[in-house]
Amino acid sequence: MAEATAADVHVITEKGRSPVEPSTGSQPAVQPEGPRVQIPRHEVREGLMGLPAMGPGNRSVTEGVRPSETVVLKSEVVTGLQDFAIAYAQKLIDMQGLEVMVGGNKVNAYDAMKRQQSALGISYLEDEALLASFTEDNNGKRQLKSPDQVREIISSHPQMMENIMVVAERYARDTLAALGLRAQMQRPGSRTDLRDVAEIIDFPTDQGKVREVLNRLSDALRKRESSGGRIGPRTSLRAAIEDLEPIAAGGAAFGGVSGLIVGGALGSFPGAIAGALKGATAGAAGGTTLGATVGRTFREGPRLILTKDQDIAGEAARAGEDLRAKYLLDVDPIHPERSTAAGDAKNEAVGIIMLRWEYMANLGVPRERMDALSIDFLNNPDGIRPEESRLKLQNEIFHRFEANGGMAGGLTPTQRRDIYRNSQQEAIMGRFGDYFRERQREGRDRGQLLADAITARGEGGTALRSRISGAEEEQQKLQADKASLEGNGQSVAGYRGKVKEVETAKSDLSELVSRTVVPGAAAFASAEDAIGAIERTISDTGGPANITIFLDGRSHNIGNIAQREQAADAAFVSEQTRIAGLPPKAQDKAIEAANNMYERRMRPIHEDSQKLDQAILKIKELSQRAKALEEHALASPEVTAGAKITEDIAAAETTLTGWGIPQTTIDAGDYAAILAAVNTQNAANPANGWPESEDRVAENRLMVRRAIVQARAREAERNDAALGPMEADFNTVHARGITVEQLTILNLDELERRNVAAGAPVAGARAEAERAQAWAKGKLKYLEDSIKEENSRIQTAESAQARIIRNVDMATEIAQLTMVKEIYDNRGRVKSKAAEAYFLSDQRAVLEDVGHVTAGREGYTAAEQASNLPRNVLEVLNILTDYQNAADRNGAFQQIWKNLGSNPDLLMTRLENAFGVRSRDIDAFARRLRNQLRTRATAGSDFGRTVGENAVNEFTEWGLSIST
Amino acid sequence: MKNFDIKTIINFLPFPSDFKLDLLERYESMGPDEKARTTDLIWEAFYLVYDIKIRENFDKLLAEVDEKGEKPDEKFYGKVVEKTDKEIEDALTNSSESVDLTEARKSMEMIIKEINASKVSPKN
Repeated sequence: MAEATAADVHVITEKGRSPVEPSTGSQPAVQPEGPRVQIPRHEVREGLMGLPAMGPGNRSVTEGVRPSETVVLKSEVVTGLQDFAIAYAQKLIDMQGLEVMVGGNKVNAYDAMKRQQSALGISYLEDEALLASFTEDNNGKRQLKSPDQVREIISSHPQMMENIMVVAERYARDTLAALGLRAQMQRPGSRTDLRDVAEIIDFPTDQGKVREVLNRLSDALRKRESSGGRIGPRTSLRAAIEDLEPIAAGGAAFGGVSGLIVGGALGSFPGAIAGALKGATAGAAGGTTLGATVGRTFREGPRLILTKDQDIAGEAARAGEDLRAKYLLDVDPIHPERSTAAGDAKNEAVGIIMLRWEYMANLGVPRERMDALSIDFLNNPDGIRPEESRLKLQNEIFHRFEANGGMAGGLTPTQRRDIYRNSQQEAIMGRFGDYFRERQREGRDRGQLLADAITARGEGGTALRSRISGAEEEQQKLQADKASLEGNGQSVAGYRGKVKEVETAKSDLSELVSRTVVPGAAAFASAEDAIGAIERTISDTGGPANITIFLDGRSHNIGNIAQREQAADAAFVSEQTRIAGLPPKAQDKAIEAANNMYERRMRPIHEDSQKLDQAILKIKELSQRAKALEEHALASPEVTAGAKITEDIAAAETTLTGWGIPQTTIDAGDYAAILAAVNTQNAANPANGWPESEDRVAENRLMVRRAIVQARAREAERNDAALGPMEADFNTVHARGITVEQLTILNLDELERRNVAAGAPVAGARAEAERAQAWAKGKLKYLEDSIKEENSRIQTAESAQARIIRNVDMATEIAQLTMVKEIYDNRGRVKSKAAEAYFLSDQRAVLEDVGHVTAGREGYTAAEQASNLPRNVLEVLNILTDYQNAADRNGAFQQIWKNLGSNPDLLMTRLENAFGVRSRDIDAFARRLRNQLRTRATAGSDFGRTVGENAVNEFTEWGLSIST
Repeated sequence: MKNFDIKTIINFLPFPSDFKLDLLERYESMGPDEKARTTDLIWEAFYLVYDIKIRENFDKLLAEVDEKGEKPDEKFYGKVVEKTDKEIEDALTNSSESVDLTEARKSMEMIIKEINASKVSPKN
């Protein structure tokens, strides 16, 4: 085995770069096979602020050994993490190229897994982050980078390794869960509930044995060996783990061992013996004698207990977990006994648990504090405390778990575990984000980045533009929605206009007909009847004795023309007979008088006759007009287009409900809520709806708007007291094939005829058609109103976006970034001031003062007093910003305090991260700082580096996070 | 002097005098990036020296405690740090005046004059 050389040790500086440094000191007894990684201790462990001051058992104090500034991850741990990451990423890539059946549809395995996870609410966003880190595009195909490249990425950044360890831990936990198991470490000397125990595995402290297992884990991950999971040809990993398993002391301890777990404790009995003999005869590294193997059964070392757990088995079988289990973990959680790779999967999980065990030991966590997996505290029915590793990432996960309500009362274990799993994901995603941002910034001066960020937020700057562009984009979408709906509204209005035209002509006609009256007779049923009556009044002595017509704006009552003519003729004939009896000299005058009389009698009769002719003409004119309009309207573009739009609007609602969107959701009319419901349906079944990324598509947006309009219009009409009851008649007549256009345009006679022809019972067909017609016409009105209302709401939303655009405030961010840039640019001064504050006795007294300041005393101002910050915290702020030397000290502090949100939270987070502590509040932090300084638990170098470097870095990183 | 500016720290560090002179001269004319890097290195050196002093004092005080046949208590380390801090404070505030370039040049000029003068020996 090659000796460790300079190239074998990676040293990671605080900036994440990895200059190679030679290892120092004598060669270690166990030769590393690959690179070790050295990490500054404070990057991964909490508690930078010096040594704990108290504690008789404190080795550091009594032996004068300060914790080393660095921790070292041994080569087998680094290699294990690297191999896991490569295997995991490759598995994801394989899933992306795999098609599987889900719900009867062929879908991409990876996409389907992501949709299911999203629907269940358990996210594995780290999958995307790992793919982004470790893969590259090769002619449109995703491909893993070279193993060397991946290893370099992982080992050159401590955050990446921490994240990989959590991803691996999640992988191990999920694998065991899919097998229906949970893990737990049994502490030496402690009692453990052995009911439902499936397997007990000794965890050795012998480094050779550990290395053996981890190396075999690496082999298995690289080659992904599979022996079919049955007892028979063994994988080297399986063999290594079986070598650790204790020999069954008795059946009772393993009651409940089921055939689900292949290579179980009893099954491994011959294997353990064989392995021990092999070790004894071959003298392999880490080999054991039989006696030692048996003896191990009774040893006091920690043991990994795998226990069956029905709750966990049920969790893992949920829809949303099963695809990941089947295709990533190689275990079918519903039928684990059918999973051919179950045994290998289990051994891999055990190997990862051991990897984690070693990883934590390398980071300085005492073994007695380690659990098998960090989630164990939520599995154990006795409710043990969370693992006390004092690792920063682990603590962050637990803080998030608490903040996400994981410790709230009344939750089931499954609910708590789900919250924990999501908290893990949040924490590592935050760090992936930091990692990506740092990669982007590598090689770029942070001061320049801050300066660029400030410029980008100024007038015309890119950041300002992009902040506005979100609102502008939303505004444009809303404007497009409004334009589309307005277009729809105009079509409906055009349709209604045409209907009105036909109605007007018909009603004018029917009014005229209704005003044509024969006294004592029934009203005329039609224009033809009225014309017939008038004609008979003109020419038929047997016709109506008189008739009232409506002409030139008034009624005229006219006697029967034929009768009157007849009477006038008869009078004239009678007069002529009398004249014949007169002397000839008197006849001429008499004849002239009789002629005059006849003319006088006939004149009004002729006038009346003309009036009746005009009345007939008028009625004929209106009748022809109404008929022509009716015929023309059905084919007119206004009616055709309008009818199509009303159908499309109705179809939008039907489509959405057909996809499973609840009617109540549509009725509520909340646009965003309906969009979200569509996305949810699409996540469950890709054939329905569309994903969130397609919410911006105009057609999709219009569909939702239309559905809202339709639902609102229908509800309004239903609530109309007169029209509401007529909906049923409309549905019946419409279902017979009579279209909405026909209902709205055609006259009742025609509708009645068509209704009967379509199958309606004759009696009642007319009344039914009339009601259906009323509903159809009402529908148009309510639809037009509903469109107007929706447009009004869109207008309101658009105005809100316009306000956002007007009010985008970059000033706050500019001020924050400016403050951070000044801290960064003046970091030399910060170091000087930090040293002065610590070493100079009079200034040191301020650092130990936790009281609150009073304006006017010792130079403190009103703003400083108002902040209520303890004096030593103000001093730390002063070291960073030198605000106390500003010309306007009060104004300078006010601006700083405003930049920090005018409350201690933001400042607390920065200081906590810099100092590596967690405090209840700012006053508790201040007291801790005082105590650490008084007892000299925090030495000068600690304080100088903490404030001069860590705190500057913290603020700089905060500024850079604002700027991205 | 009661300030810990970079020049004070350079003076304090156990560099050779000519190196200190050179560094002090060059420091003022460095560009901002180089100045920032140099400042970081100087402070790192300062805290390394400080840590070394702590270890030295730790051994010293431990030896004294051993001689008395006592055991160090939980306050022992704090005392070590306190002693070291006092030494640092004294060294930085009570140290001789900082290397004054003008004075140093004058001294150098005088030394060179004397050397030259001694070479020019009256032969005749």
